Amino acid sequence: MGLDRVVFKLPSRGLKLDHDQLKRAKPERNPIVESEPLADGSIVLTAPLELTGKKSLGMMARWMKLPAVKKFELDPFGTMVWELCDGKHTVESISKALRDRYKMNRAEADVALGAFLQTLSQRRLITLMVAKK
Amino acid sequence: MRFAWQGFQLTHPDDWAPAALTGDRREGYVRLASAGSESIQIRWQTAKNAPSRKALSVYLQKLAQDSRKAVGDFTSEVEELPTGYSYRYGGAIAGRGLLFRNEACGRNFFIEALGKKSDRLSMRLKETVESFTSSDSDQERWAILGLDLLLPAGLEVRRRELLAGRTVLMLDAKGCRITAERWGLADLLIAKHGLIPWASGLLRIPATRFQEAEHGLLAQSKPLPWLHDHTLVTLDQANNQLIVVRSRFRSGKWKPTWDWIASCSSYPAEG
Repeated sequence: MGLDRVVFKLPSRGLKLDHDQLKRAKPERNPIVESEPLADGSIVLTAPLELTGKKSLGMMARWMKLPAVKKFELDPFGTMVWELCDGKHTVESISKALRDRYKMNRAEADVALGAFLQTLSQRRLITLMVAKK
Repeated sequence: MRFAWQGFQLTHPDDWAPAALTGDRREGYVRLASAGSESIQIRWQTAKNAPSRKALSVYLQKLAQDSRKAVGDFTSEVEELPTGYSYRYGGAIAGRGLLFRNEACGRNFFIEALGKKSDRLSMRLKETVESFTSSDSDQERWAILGLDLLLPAGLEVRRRELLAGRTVLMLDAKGCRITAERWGLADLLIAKHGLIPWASGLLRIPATRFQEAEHGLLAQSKPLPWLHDHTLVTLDQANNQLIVVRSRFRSGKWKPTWDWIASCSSYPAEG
């Protein structure tokens, strides 16, 4: 099993994707996340946090006056991936774009992209659109 | 892309990657895999005699057993060549291979292309065998995932890390330890840190100890009266990667030179 296949085992949340399905999946940005470009080509993402829960966690968050948003700073590599997560590009085509731009080899690009998409997905910044079989 | 390991080398498609690496110079196994079903595997063993047909038969019998458990069908053919044996098989997976002896290094090699029946395995095997070389000279090539070095012979692998964007190879010989690293995304790293601060942080060498040299940066020290510590850092712009070679050595044979790094040397690309 190649490294890419290990990393491509993204958290399934009930949906199991095989390697080929994932390559054809189209990541799409969460529309409520806002991005702000910085001078060095990187961007800052601003995602609203849910503080309206009725149970103890929500009450505690309001009582502690936690910030209403969370910010994520992406480096130029992450920025490029983020911009390509438009619901039109597949994971495979994003990997190809990274290989061309950064002269990475296929395994490297797939592993780095898989890990990054996993992080974005866990933070609910993107959704992976998967075609039905 | 070049792959050179334990005294042999070959080229493989750029989008392939090592999936298994075991053994040492005397005996070992390597598998290079594509993103799909195709892969190349190489087995080697030091031996006094040319490979026997019996060894090949044992191997094919084992494959047949495995294949019959899975799909119940297995066929194989063996052809004797002046230099060894050529074989092909089909079953749960298909394979085309060559078993031969390389007198120059005194080792027997199995080289095999395997995959689905529909894959172009004969062509893959032909390309691999044509690019394959193995010799027993005083210099040895080590090349994996873009890290390409030409080092004095006699080194053994102590540690390797094949990570996304970073390849580390630690090689030992008596009185010497060489650590070579390849870092991808060099333009991002240099833009973020600068070359000297990056190298200084990675190697834990004070920035003031680095000096500009022919192909990049050089740092030298002598931590003990009998021990030298030399480091070379170079930017390979063509491949957007940084190469770091550090040698801790007692004998001058192991003093690193820029020729050790393929991207800095005049060594022929296909040599």
